[in-house]
Amino acid sequence: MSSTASLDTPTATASHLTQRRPGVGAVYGVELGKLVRQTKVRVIGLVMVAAPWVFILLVLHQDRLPLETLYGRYLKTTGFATPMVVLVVAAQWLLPLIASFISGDMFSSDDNHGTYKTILTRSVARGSVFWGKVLAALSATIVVVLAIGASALLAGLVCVGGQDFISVGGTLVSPGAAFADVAVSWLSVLPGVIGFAALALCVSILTRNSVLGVVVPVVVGLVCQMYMFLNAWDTVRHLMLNWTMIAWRGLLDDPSYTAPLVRGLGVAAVYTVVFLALGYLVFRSRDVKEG
Amino acid sequence: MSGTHFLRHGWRRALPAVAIVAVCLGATACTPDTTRARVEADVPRTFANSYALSEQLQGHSATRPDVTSTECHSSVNPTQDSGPGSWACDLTYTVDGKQEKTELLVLIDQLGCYQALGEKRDATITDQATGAVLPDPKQGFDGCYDVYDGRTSVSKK
Repeated sequence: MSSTASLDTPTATASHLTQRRPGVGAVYGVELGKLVRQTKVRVIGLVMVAAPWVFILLVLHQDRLPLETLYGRYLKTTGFATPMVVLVVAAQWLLPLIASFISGDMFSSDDNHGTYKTILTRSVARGSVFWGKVLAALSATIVVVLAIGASALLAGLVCVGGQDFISVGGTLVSPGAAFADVAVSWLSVLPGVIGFAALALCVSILTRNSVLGVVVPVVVGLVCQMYMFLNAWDTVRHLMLNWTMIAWRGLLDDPSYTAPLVRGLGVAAVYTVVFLALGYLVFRSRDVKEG
Repeated sequence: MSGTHFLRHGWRRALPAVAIVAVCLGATACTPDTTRARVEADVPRTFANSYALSEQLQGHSATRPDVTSTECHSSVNPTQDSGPGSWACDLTYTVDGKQEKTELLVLIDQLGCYQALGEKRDATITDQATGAVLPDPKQGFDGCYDVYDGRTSVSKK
């Protein structure tokens, strides 16, 4: 057991000190600040936010449309199609990658720098460190994903316009309802993204290696995506995080259906809880005196 | 229970749960996502919507055809009408009191979505609102269906 436990003895002095320990909020603030100051996070954020603008401008300057992509045929019809096409592409490859980049070295960076000794043996409870880091990673991931969605919507509205939207079933949707459709679609992929982030955090804790923390979830995501495109067992496909990230299609159909989203939420919750629980168990029992 | 203890011994307790999940997976793996019933329910509805959309985009009144019959078959599965790939759909519909027929090539992916292409798949229209030249929605449209609904029939006639 680590030296953190020795500080938890029920003496008056110790309990007084424990009460004054910084909690999850303090760790969250510090870790979020560290993330925001990282060059890689800034660069990824900027590139991802700029990408939809480049994409729609290129589409508008060519005759052909990406007809093989859902909503690709409507890119010149309504600006609301831009965030949907970006979502189709991003959900396949980019969103798992973003989750891994942000979360993959959240814990292993402290291993590499040997800083756990200083934070865990003196000032902060182990659980606070864990949850502060987890919440910071998830917050940053969610902000980046939603920023991409907002940027894509803005790019579509500015470059194409706010004409009526078209549902997956081919019916016209008013611009007001289209805002809600786009927002709900982007929000619906967050549970899947959080699942990938939880996997990255877990690998980061288990391996204490930043490269593996980033690479393993990306490889898992790619393998799952490849399976998604195979004509293999459908039931297995339904149990993958990638599947939960396409559930928005049912919400935008006419008539709409929610079964894929409801089931996807359950699948993503299971992945998230399992990976975070495993990471917590290992992190809690870690001997930080080794560095 | 510490984390290392769980990792060393906990997996034995998890084995029954894993076995149950595997059995459930095996039992349900035979139900395909793409069935003839789902395709025949979704394609005519989306075709009718896309037809009306095409008319609306061109500035005409939103004429919605009444699809009277639909027959779809998988071109890649010789034993039953199920699974992704190329499908052929024959639709009969009535529009402005006149009966019409169309044959659609439906390219279905593994995710429960498809791209349907008509006989004049390269036809274009001009969007009256924006002036943009677009592929005609009634000659090419996308759609998705609920893979969890009760339409599981895969009969091949």
